[in-house]
Amino acid sequence: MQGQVLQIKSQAEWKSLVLENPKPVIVDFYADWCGPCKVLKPKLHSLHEQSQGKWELAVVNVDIDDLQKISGQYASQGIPAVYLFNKGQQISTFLGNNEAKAKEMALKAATL
Amino acid sequence: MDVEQEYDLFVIGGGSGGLACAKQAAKLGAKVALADFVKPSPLGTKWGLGGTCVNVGCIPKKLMHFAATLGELRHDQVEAGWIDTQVDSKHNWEKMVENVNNHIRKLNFGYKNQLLKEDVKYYNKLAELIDANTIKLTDNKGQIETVRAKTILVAVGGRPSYPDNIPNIQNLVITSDDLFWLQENPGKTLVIGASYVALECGGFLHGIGNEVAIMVRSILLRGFDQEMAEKIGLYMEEKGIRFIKGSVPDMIEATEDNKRKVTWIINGQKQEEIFDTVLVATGRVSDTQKLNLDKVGVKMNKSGKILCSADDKTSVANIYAIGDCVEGRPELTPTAIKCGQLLANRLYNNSTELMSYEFVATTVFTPLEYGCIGYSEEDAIKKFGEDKVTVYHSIFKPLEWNYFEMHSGESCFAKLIVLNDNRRVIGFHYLGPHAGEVTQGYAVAIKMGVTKEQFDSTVGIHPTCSEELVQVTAVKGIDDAQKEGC
Repeated sequence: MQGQVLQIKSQAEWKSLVLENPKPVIVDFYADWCGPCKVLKPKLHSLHEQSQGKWELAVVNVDIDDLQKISGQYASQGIPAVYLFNKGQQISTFLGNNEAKAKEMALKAATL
Repeated sequence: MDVEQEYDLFVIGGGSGGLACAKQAAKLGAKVALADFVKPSPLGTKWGLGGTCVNVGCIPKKLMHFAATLGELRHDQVEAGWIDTQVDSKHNWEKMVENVNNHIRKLNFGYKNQLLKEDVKYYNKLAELIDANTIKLTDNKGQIETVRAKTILVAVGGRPSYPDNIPNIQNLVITSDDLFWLQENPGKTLVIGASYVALECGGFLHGIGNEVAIMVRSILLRGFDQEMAEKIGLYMEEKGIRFIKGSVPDMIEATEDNKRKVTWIINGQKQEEIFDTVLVATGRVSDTQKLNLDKVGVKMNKSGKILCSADDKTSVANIYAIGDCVEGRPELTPTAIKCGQLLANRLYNNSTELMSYEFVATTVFTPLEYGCIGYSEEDAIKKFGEDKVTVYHSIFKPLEWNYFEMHSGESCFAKLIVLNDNRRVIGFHYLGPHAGEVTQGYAVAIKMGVTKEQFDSTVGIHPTCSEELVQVTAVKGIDDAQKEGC
């Protein structure tokens, strides 16, 4: 569904909505206490809205207990940590509030 | 009870000491688990992984102290030429607390990641000993799990204590557990206590614009050099912080509009006053009560602090304890960290190195900061004899204080305690700006046994406050501490 952001809340949802998603998925690891995360979020949302449904946007709150292992794996260097997944494979990643890299990732996702 | 997990080391307490030991032990190949659980304060405040320092101690304290000093610098800004600085602008408590709390949550997250990275299993559960090798873990929903471990480390730290003479006090006052997470400015505050916690908190609350009174039973900063403690108090009084001396509260009651009416007695006369908030900082108590240590045979002193030998062993062979919960240890983060790391090295890497608590530098972040290493003047005289030590002292004024005329020329003070027979500097005391930064480097020298002559032969960095320490010549009892001229 265009414009709908996937809120990943459990390991099961990580598997079904990210790894097993038929479309490419851009995943944003964030936290409520993270300033740069707050600035990046609307940028990702806007890129997603412009994508015409070519890829999905998922968000993971790193403070969710059930996702500790996954957050620990993907967000250990810091947040916001953004990943592009396609068919369960990690294609690319960037760290921090980086608008240029976000645009690049969105373009890549649209071509997969 | 189904026991599934067995560890080499189980650490109870995820604070400075516990985390350091757990990570180091895991690095050395041990199978480690750590349990950390914050029991909410009586007012319901709770926080995440990291212990007292990260959540309700050093970190938020220093950030708030810094916020207050920034306010004080406004006057200097004006005199240094900046236009449009409002010296009486208000402070936004909510903004400061949000930023401080966000930083703390970032640290909580970082520690969780570190444990994951080092392969330490983290239980956010309340631990209790069943026997010397079995730990019962209860989560916040009441669910119980049991694990076993060859070695157990107790690093549960402490929590603020309350005076026992006032009914319902826990619901009427806040402590440092609550202050750093308060969602609203505490307003006109009465601080009860004379510890560094009391003085630091009273200090920054005043610095951000609150009316503050500090009620002290007798002396300030018990255990610290008393000449320095008095100067700290004097500086705070000159700044406008009211000290109510020689008193303890007799009664604290909630008023109709939820303020606090405090009653105390001075010279037989009853005094009373209304405050928005009462902050109690009269001491801390070891958090060992619910661990079941008695039953397992771990000996503690009357106040619940665990008795350990120099190698951190308790009275039970496979149970160790470090940090604030142990009798005789300084209640400091860096000593707990180092102690934890050295313990891990001894347990899992055949090291024999014990923790040394000699000449540990520390700093009190009162409005005028105080850094110290080694002996206070009183302790040096008591241990060695008055005729065996020489005290050098100096009053100085930071150069930067010459913009704004209201800065005192007599508040900053430095003191060195020297042992006569070998000329070793055994006590270092600095009262002035940036005390932590000034003091740290000298700790290296003092640990190496530096003499007064080596101090004197060191060229000072100019213009700084620190250079006073390598230029002090005035001897207490003979010379005035104040220099004349440039």
